Amino acid sequence: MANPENKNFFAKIGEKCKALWESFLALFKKKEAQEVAAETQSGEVFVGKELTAKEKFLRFLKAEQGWLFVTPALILLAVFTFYPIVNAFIRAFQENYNPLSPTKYTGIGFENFVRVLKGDTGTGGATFLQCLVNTTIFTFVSVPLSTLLALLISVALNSIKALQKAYQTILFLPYLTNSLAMGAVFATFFTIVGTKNSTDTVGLVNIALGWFGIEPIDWMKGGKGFVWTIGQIRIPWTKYVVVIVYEIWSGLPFKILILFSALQSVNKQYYDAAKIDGASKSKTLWKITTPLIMPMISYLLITGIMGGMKQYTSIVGLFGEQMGIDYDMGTMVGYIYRYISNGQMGYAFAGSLLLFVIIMIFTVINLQASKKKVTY
Amino acid sequence: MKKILTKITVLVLAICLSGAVSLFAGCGGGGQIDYEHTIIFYTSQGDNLVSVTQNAINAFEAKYPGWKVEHTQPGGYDEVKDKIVSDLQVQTQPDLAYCYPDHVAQYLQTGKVVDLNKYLDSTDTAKWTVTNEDGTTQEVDTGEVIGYTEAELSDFVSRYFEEGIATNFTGYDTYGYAADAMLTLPFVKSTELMYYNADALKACGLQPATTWDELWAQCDTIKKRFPTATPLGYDSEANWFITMCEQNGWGYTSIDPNNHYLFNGPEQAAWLAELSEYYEKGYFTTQEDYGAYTSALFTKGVEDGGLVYCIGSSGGASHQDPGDVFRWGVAPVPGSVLADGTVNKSVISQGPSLVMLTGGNNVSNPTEKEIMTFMFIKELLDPQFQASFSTASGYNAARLSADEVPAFQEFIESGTIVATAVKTGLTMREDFFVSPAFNGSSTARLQVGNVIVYAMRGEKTPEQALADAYKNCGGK
Amino acid sequence: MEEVKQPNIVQEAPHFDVEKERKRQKVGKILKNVFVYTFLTFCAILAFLPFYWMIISSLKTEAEYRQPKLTLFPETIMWKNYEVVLTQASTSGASFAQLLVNTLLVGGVSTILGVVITILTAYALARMNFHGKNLLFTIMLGTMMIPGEMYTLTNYITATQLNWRDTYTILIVPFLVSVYYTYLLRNNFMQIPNSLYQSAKVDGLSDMGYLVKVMVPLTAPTLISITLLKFIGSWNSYIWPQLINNQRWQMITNWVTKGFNDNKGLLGPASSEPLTTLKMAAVCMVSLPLFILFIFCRKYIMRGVSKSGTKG
Repeated sequence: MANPENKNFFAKIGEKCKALWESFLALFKKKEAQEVAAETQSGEVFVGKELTAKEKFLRFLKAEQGWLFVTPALILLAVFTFYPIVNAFIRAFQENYNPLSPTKYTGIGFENFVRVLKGDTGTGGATFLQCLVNTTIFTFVSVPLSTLLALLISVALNSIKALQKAYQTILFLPYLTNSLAMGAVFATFFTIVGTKNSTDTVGLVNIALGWFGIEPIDWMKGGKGFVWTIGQIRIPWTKYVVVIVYEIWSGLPFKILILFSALQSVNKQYYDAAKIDGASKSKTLWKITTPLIMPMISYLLITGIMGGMKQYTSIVGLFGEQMGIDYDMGTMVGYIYRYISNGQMGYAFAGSLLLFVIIMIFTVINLQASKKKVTY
Repeated sequence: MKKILTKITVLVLAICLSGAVSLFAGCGGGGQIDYEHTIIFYTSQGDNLVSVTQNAINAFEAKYPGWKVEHTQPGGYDEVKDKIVSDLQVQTQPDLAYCYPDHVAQYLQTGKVVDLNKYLDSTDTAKWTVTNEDGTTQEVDTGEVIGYTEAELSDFVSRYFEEGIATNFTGYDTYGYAADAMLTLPFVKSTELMYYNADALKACGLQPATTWDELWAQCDTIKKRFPTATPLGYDSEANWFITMCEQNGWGYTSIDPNNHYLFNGPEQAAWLAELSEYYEKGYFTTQEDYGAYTSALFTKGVEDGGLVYCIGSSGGASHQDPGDVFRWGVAPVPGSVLADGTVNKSVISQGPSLVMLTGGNNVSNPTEKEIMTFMFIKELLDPQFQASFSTASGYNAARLSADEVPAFQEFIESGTIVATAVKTGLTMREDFFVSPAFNGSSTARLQVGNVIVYAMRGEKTPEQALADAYKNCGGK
Repeated sequence: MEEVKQPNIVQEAPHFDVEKERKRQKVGKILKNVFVYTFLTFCAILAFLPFYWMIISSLKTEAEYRQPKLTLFPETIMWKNYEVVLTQASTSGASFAQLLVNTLLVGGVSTILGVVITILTAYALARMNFHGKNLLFTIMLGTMMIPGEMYTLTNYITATQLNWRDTYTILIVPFLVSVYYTYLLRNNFMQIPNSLYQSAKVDGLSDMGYLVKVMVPLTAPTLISITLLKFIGSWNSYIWPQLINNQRWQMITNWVTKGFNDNKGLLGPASSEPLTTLKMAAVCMVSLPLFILFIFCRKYIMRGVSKSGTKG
């Protein structure tokens, strides 16, 4: 988002939000209107003839039988989606809500939010702020890095002829993985098994680092000298490295898929023109290829960041259900689930509303960007 | 390729269909439970203990024909609690359940916890009514007195018994309970024991340590003799912290709602600093540090990087059995030498209690059911049964007279590691203590456990770790 | 000066280009290729390494896994690890095999019901006219912008109040309707020309008949995508079962975070020590079906996923 045109972008979000929402609706309404027009043109036309009450009723039934088709979905959505959304907004403001005595909340106000943001919830574990920092760092380091790496790989893949299919297949393999299961595999790469006095294996990563003469590090535990502290925020960086490495690995295949197919669809004419103009290879890459696939890159960055802000299972896969010691690797989603399990629903609701706001901001950015993509 | 795809789609659909069929088939089975005459009992017992408990159930069902006990194991202690909390919201709570004090602090809010005083010294006899086929009712009187006699009450290990008194649960008065209300009864209790590798100690020319000072002093010798071994493994960091506070009188938590948390003191910090030093020297490990129960490390033997001392629950004694790898011994947890030269060997005592909940499944006569549930509690607390449960599990019985049961006498002399653990536990009864339960006591437990981990790894200074834990508990 | 230089360049250029430049280009091309292939090979190895490691570790003995020296292939192949994992049982009487059954069952039922509901809803939204259709569709699309965690909380309370905890029902019902798949299928339905609908009506087909006999076969590729993605979604579900059910009623991924041990003594002396090799065997059982499904159904899976930007 370093584009100079977007300098005031964040300042304008407020006013643009509404316009975007309207254009969002208009987009679907337009299609809808075309559809309806097509229907009425060809539909049966009743002429003259007075209708009896029974016929009228039957006609009504016939006209509205669409409701019959959507009823199962509608009931399920009403109970498990619409109601919960409304409920979340109400419960988040009820103070000391307790499912064991649901009507006995002590008041309505912002106390849940204040306590969540101040980290004053009376239970241990990472505070919401710590979780926000964790999630943000994981996301904003791993997403750009994996996008850049995916770009390099896609360009390389696009430039070769022999074995292209083979490489493509192997690089796409991690595409459909279970983030929990693969997290457990990555954890073994970094784990030292054994005690301080007798080490069994130091893990694959430490073995590899050993070839360069680096002493084994207990990545999964951190410890003395491996923690940075900034005020109340703790950054056990060895654990961060583990998360980021895993996120990059698991994010790559999807990004390669998108970028590689984007590269392949770039019109060959541009390259021929560039060749005639005598542009060097690197110049072609930066002046032609990159701008052409820029919309794809921004799409990947934004969806990657939105997905990253909601990460949870990958951390559980790496560090177990406790997410490190006392949830110190906790993410925002992890925070919400922890408070559900604790039975402190008020904080969970408040946390989920805060997450909603954060996701909403990125959704707006996404809509803005996809609008740009269309006009490109 | 297309053919393969079609096949796969068919396969997926077939799996789906078979799934659907078996789901509906699965729903059909299972007889309806007659809640009026069935006592629902939740525990966290494993398979071997379930079969032991079945003996008590059989005895109960034989004594009171027409009554049944449905024994369910939702999972570990936390799963039992979670299940009950969710049951309480829909009135399907069990009649009787395993509990830990902090769970009861949560159940109290619903007012469904039964004050057992009304049955403990009741002189009435247990009776219930049955409805005949023609609609008439008929009373069945068993002739069994509900309550305990004075002698029977004094047969309970007093420290265990006192745990159930309402004053141990903050907020009891706001939920309408009297100060002397009896909210739980002890079932069986485990304590912490020190298992040791007798061969290794002998090789080093050492005797089992009885105080912490002795133990730390031995570490150097052990490490010199067995460089890859770890002298001590302590399973539960939280218990270690709480035990040290109790032994030295430092203060951990209190029942006073205005001053729950006492653990943030300079003595605790000094001890943590000491621990961190020992950890650097490789003197000990804990469950969090090792990544598993330290018993797994103990049974390996010192030559394979195992432990010399392992402090763990008496309830887990069977896991400490190394088989033929080495000769073992069991001793009480080391004590702390106080300023006046005396040794305090206080040791934490934990284990399931029984809580009775009323009004589950909308039974028509809750009082009758409460009485019969109490009669079942009496079966569970029967000295004979307690002795057999202790024999199977390594837990200590809640009744003193369980010791005199001949089979139990024979058992504790049998020399197995479980028997020795039980036997050692019996000698420690005077040293048992329990930490107070209140809303937030389980948070405090988790937090002090983390304090040890942070301090030993040097991620936080002891002072910082304690201050953070204090803040996390909501202390100001 | 410039006038002198100009002819010089023109004169020398062909000579320079043909000889040296071609050679330079050739060397450059080889160098470039060496670099590109090395880079790609390195990346390919890294992409594949976790899978390879997972598989070989699951077949090693624990002693071999733990030895400081790396082995790239198991010395003795331990299929028994898989047996131990499948018979692994917890205190609540659940076994790993039980969870596998749960997963297949829940996955199967929720996929079938979910696809049926999706088809019905998408058809109504695409082809039928009824009052409030646009409003309904707009609201449905609107919910896509709200993170799922917000519903989970209330659904947790609802499930408790319905007394649906520790059942299969609660794992299936809340996730039957997927707005995204409905939207995807609706768009697909709308691409089918209206004339088909007219002729079907002339032939006397009801809406239902038209849907089953014409629409469904025509949109089969999208339906296959949706079926596969729904099944994969169930297979991977972790959070909801973890929250709502006890272990007996959970899914296969819920056990992966826990340790696996040989407490029955099938591999050596019985011990409660968690064994990495067993965990890797469990991880293989969770991952490999997905892996195989992906290899065979890549086209269909990617069709669905590349549009949403999220994984299964």
